Parts: sequence; C-alpha cells; structure tokens
Amino acid sequence: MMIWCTIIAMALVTFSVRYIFLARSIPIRINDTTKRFLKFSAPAVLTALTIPIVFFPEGELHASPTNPFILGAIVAIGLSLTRLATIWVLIISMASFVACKWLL
Amino acid sequence: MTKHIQRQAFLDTLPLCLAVTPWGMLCGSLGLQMGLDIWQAQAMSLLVFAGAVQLSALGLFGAGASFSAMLTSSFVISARHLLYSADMRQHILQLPTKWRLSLGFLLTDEMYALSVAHTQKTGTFDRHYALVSGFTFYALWNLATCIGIILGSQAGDLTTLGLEFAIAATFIALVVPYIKTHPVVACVFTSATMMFILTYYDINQALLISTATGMVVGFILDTHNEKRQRNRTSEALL
Repeated sequence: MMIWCTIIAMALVTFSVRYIFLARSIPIRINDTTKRFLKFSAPAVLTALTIPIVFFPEGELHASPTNPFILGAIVAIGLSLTRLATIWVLIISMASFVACKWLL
Repeated sequence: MTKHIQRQAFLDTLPLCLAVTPWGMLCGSLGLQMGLDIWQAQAMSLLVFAGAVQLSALGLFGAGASFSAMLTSSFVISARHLLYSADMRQHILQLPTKWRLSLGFLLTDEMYALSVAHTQKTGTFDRHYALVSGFTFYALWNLATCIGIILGSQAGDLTTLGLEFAIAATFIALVVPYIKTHPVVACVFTSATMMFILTYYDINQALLISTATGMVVGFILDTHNEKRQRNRTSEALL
C-alpha cells in the first residue's frame, strides 16, 4: 500500500511541474531572471545524478582506473564531444563498459 | 495536412525512443528487483512517466528511504520541467482543457525539444505535432518498461548486462551538449564536486543540496557576465 501511495504521490509531483504554467487558474508568469536560473537546473541535476553511479557503484567509493563505470564514463564524455548521434554514444560507451567489466 | 504532420512527428520521435529503450527496460527490471510487483513497476512508467525520477526512486526504494525524501528528490529532478511548462504556456494556454491536460502530461525533455525545433522550422506551434510526438514517446517508454519487466522476471538481474551504466551514459550524453558557456561549466563542476563530497560522507538530501549549489553558482556567473556585457554595450554607445 505504501508503495502505491508513493507512486501516486510521485506522479502528482511530476504532473504538477509540467502542468502548472499551462493551467489558466495560474496567473503568474515566470520572469526572465527565474527562467535564467532554471536553465541551470538540467545540467546541475543530471550531473549530480551521474556522480554516485560512476564513482560509488554498490554504494562504496571505487575511484580507481579499474572501475569500468569511470572508464565507460570517460568514453561517453569523449564521444559526446563529437557530433556523433546520441544513440551511438550510448551503444559504443555501453560496449566499452561491458568490455572493461569482462577484461578487468 | 494533419496526417502529414502526425507522420512527421512520429518519425522524428522514433530515434529518441530508441535511445531511451535500455533505460525503460531498466526501469521495469530494476523495479522487480527493488521489490515492486509487476503492476507497480508498470504503473511507475504509466503514471510517473519520468525516467530520471523513476530510476532514482527505485534506488531510494531499495535503500528504504522515507516518503518525504522520495518526493523531494522527485521534485528536484523534475524541476527543469517548470521551464518547459513556462515556455510552452504561450502556445498552449488558449487551447481547450483536454489539450492542456494531455500536452501537460506528455511534456518531456524529448517532446519539448522536438516541438521547439518544429516550431522554429515552420514558424508556428502545432498541437498535433506535440501530441503525437509526446504520445509516441509515452507508448514506447511503456513498451520498453514492459519488456524490462518480462525479461527481469525471466532472466533475473539485467544490471549485469551493463544496463545500469546506460543511465549514467544517457545523463552524460544529455549534459555534455549543455556545456558551452563558462557559467554552465562552473555549474556542472560545482554540482559534481558537491555530490561527490556529500555522497562520500553519506549526507541526507545530497541531490537537493548539490543541484541547488550548482544552479546558484552558474546563475551568479551568468548574471555577472550579463552585467559586464550590458556595460560594454553602453560604453560602446557613448
């Protein structure tokens, strides 16, 4: 029951942030300063989400050159800097991750 | 004409769907591993419909986090949608309620990006384009989740196949193109450093604190840049 409540509450959160400015009853518009602030939301949160996956696999710090997550992440960063399509960045970096995991 | 636009929206959305398929599968299989039943695992994609929120929530379910911690992290992760919502307001506010509710529900990073690109290309916002691209994404996201649930219940641990790494790789592929200006560099660097330290010391609300600090640093530098630029322009005018 607790799980269902959590799922529904989370759904309300994700729907609200999407719908809030599309509702007619909300008269506020956000000004340019707020927009400028919110523009930093995506890079900040996505970076923060990546760090634990890459450096703390299984909850423990594993900062060594034999950590396949770090090696895979380096490949992913390198490929993202090229004009390669996202899908290839994913496929190649995942392949290098699996290869590192096997070899190391 | 509408049919043509719908087809175009569908075709434009497909490559993006492919990119998130491993992610959707992971949501399904990881859901089972974290103790959800198959209906709950699918309901996450049907109702919450937000990859990053779902995956981090599954991690928190596994760690036995509190209800409020889960909601705070959901809000922090999906806060960027406020920006999309505010930006789409100009096009959507005059539409009937059912359109506003549907487009609101289907508003994702991908739908927003496609719709903005289409609006720029054609000069007008097309509600059918936005709806079809949003819905295509929704349908395939749920299909991927369903496949993940089936594979997860049959084959067990999918994370060994490197799907867990797919989350990190997707985040990286999304972040890197943002890093074009100094303020964003500073924002990303601050957020990463903070998250590293806070995770190491196992501090509560690490995600909220790191994200907020990164945003503030980026914003301050951006404000500083803008002021300098304005001063330069006014000097040039004098």
